[in-house]
Amino acid sequence: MTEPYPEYMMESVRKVEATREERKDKEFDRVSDDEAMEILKEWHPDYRKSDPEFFREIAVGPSKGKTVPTEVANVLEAYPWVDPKSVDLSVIEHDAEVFVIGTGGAGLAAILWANNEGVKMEDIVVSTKLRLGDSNSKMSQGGIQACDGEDDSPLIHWLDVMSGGHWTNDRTLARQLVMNGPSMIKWMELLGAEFDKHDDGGMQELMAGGASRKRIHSCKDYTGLELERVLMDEALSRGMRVLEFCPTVSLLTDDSSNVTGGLVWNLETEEYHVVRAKTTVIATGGFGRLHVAGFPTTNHYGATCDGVVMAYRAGADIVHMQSTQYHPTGAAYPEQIVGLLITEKCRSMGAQLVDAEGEAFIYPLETRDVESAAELRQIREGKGVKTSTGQMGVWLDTPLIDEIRGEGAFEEGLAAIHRLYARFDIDASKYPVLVHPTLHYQNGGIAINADAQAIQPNGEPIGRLFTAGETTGGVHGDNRLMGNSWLELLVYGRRAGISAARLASKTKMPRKSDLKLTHLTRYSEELQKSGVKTERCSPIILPNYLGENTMAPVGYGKETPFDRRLDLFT
Amino acid sequence: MPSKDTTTEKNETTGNLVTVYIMGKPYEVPSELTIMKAQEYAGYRLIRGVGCRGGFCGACTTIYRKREDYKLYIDLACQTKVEDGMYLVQIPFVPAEKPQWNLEDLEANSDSIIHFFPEITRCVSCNACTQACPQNLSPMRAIQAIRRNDLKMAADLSFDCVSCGACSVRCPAEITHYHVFQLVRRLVGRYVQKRAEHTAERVKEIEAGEYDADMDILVGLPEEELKELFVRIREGNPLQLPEREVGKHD
Amino acid sequence: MLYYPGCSLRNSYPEFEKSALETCTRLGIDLAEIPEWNCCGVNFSLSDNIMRHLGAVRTLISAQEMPDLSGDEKVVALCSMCYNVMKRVNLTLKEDAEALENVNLFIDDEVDYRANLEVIHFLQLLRDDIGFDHLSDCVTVPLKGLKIAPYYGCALIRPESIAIDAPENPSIMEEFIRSVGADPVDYPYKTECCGNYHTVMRKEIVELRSKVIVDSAKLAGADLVVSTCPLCTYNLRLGVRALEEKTPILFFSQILALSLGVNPHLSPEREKNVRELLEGMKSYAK
Ligand SMILES: Cc1cc2nc3c(=O)[nH]c(=O)nc-3n(C[C@H](O)[C@H](O)[C@H](O)COP(=O)(O)OP(=O)(O)OC[C@H]3O[C@@H](n4cnc5c(N)ncnc54)[C@H](O)[C@@H]3O)c2cc1C
Ligand code: SF4
Ligand code: SF4
Ligand code: FES
Repeated sequence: MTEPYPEYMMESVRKVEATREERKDKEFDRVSDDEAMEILKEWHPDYRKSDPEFFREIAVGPSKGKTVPTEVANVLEAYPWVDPKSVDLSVIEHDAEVFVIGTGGAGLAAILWANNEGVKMEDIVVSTKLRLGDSNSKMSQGGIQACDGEDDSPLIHWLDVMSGGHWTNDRTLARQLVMNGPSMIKWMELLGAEFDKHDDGGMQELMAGGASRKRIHSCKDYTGLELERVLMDEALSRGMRVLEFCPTVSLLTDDSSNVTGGLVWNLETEEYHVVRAKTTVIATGGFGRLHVAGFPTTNHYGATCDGVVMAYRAGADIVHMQSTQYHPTGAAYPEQIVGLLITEKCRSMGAQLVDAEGEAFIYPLETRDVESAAELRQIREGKGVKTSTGQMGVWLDTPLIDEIRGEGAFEEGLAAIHRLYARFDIDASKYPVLVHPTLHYQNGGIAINADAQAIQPNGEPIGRLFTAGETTGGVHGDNRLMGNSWLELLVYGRRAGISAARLASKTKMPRKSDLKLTHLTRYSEELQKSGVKTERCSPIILPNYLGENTMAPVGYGKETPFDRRLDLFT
Repeated sequence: MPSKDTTTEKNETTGNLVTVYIMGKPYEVPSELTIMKAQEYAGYRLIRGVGCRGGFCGACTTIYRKREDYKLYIDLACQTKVEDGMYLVQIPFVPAEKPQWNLEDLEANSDSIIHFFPEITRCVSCNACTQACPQNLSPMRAIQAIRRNDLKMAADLSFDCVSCGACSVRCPAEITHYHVFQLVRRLVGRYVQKRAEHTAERVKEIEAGEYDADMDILVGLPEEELKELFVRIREGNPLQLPEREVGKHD
Repeated sequence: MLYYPGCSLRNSYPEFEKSALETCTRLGIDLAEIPEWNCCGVNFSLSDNIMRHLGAVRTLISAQEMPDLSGDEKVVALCSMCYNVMKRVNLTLKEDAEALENVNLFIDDEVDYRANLEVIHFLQLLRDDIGFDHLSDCVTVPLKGLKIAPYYGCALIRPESIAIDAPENPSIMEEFIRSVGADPVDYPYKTECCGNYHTVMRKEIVELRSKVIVDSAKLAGADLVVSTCPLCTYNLRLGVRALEEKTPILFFSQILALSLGVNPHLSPEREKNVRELLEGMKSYAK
């Protein structure tokens, strides 16, 4: 049989194989809170707050003075992409009761629940950046948490969420999250999502890293694909109107700072469309494509933090933005798939993290930040594997899964991962795979209240603006556990849809004169005054991967090309 | 404290350059790139034909031929490495109307599916779809399973479908497989799989307010107490709240 | 015996298959269903182009590859349309070496078809393998006095090369009816076409033809009509409806089941009618 890795890597693989039997049934000690903090402080990029290469204080806007990753500061301290003077806002193309921006899970949940609440599908206008459903939601693999197990309860789930977030979460938001878990699973079940079930219909549930009960519901390792496409199909079946390849580039506001719609840019015809709306829901997802700290990312092409940028200019506070989730198991080999996610389900099913010497160096189901930091430590201490392109990594010992669960368990439960590696002639059920932390999830974002309204620093909601999903912050505090994000986008997508629908039914359609971009002009003036010298524009809509940039970030610490001004279609 | 440059050495292009023909025009690109990155390297700003960049969304369907090879290949641009002499073009979209249906009005049988997609009865079992599928699925077997009224099998066989449309482009029966499969899977999820009783049970408990009082207490506890509770439940113990004194903690 | 059910039985007329399978159990016939069989390709049934019939070929290959075969097995079909298509395809492949080679080259994802299977209809199985004499010995509830009109339609007897009996004046169904103790009714339209797929676009053609067929059977004194084909059955029932008649149209396997005392899987709307007929018949028998 031919070996899947070059000899210099196989040497290390053999060490991993040599210790496998001994590791197989090993009981790991979980790290204590104090030990975790020590590892994090030493090794996690989030703990470099004082290093200006990694973090800086925002110089403008509602959350001025807060510390955020440099790449986020770059898109916030940037001029609006739209020149208010160049747009004719008097030609209104679309009128909406509810205007939804983004068609990931959060956007679709908002659409369906607004419709359930009585808003007609034709009165919901939807803007999405690329193809319908192109999103992080579709890419999620592992699963979704909900406390429907016998030994579980909303209280236990709540404690897990809080502990995962290092007790910094908004307690009320976290409560609403867990209390609605089982009902969201039931909703998806009735919409026809195929969960992994036992023959009697009971859910097969797995443990998520950082959790204390088995409550991950999965659809093989295509959970997001399955849930997202079911939501898409339902929305299309109800007659959804969607503007594809039409990202929103700015909100519109009236003189009392209420949001009155959005300005949409047609990527293909390169024209603006004005959407006038009674209520607006931002569901634009995360920021992986900003390549924070120079990491590769698991995120889709359009994950560029646009929602945060637009809401921020309209007055929203941003919270927990100082913390970023690096997923401990991004692919590190082969080169073509560097950064892609190797789902946590691998570890839930028994795979361990092992260094070049064959030593398992951490309990495989610690929280993601701790796992990632531990990997970076091993690598820094010389126990990593270096590939020919210079990419470093440690092993994820996937063959353990079949050893523990029987031949075929890997291929059955992890079809996507199996296929991913098979394309490169690596049988991941027989050989370990090389991994490195990868930029995965935007922990923080737009501050919201329990009704999914975007709020200002003083806690007051911004008029008629709702938001849900990865673009928001607070529910997960400083760190999100696997599976809680899909739960969040359903719970808060639904909340946003219902809240927006209810408000719309009591609100008059804005007048033409209420559609303004004055908040952008004000923001630009403030930016100018702040002394920040920049030509950057945002939202950036798509990262710039032209030429050499496409091969850009391959690991922790490399200078990213993304902090330059991204003059998209100019 | 480590500085910013440590775990990765310089990112150097190790491979040689190869020539690929993007819509007929030759470009020199590094050999280790995927088709998607090769296009970007060549200067194309992708809008169509790109999405997740990870093999999940099916937006990047690409057809190509190789040098001195008559075969027409179909693959996902984000998952396929370039080869020297590759002639390629993307098919970012396969036109197809998605019929509207209400799951609640349907039954899980093949008649429901044939009602919306009568063309599946025209499948001639040529298997061109299977040869095209970049996910290595067997759309033909799934379509035939529907004909046998075995929706469960059709759902299983099509579960990993990313709606790239490669099969539909090749199908002489003009079937739009991914729409067909979507309906099949929803019917199976809704009507063939058994309902999770324990989930429904928990929903009832929550809606009846059974957890509200305890939650009121829990969310009001100071962080130190929460941490202690967490350590205990994490060891598998049931949750025991401190004495109930509703209203005391705020 | 290798068994090919076909789509209609699995979707629209489960009573056809279920009743037939029950009779097999009673008669000790061992049917092994071909795994992952394909649709026979009935939509293209009239096409001579073998490339339109890859479904049938794939099914034959799947049958050929079943474990523990001696090599010259028979594939039995219940639905006469399926029989017709499968039989014709098989015949072409047996007789035309070039066609066989072409198909085998085209289907390069499977093993080659060796063209040594035989395709038969269930009635042939009863006649040639069980024997109608033996069958009548097995009958426990002879359908004495019941007047049954056999409806052949086209598929069993046309084209001649695949006919299971004399195309102009077949008698296999009559023999079958006698063997279950009933009386076959002779009428001029028994091999007339029911209109087949016109039922999709031009219902009126089918209604007219079916009306004539059923009317003629009625005039000849039939209590009920038996058919071997789901589509014919569907069409004849349209004729019955147009005549505002109650004459039941049943599958032949259902009357076989009745005579063997096993479940005929009558659908609720026909159950009452048929039971009434049988009641009348029993009193006649006494
Ligand atoms: C590889 C991967 C695996 C994951 N695995 C899991 C998991 O197992 N469990 C879990 O719970 N979570 C997981 N997550 C996280 C989870 O998938 C995301 O956090 C979640 O899907 C975010 O949903 P969303 O609807 O908020 O955003 P998204 O799903 O990202 O949707 C955002 C939408 O907004 C659109 N958009 C963006 N900007 C604009 C604009 N300016 N105008 C118009 N539209 C715009 C995008 O195109 C997209 O349609 C994973 C994430 C990734 C990337
Ligand atoms: S079945 Fe068709 S649409 Fe689905 S992945 Fe395969 S080729 Fe693409
Ligand atoms: S390509 Fe079309 S006709 Fe051919 S086997 Fe596939 S579904 Fe059937
Ligand atoms: S970009 Fe999504 S599959 Fe290639």
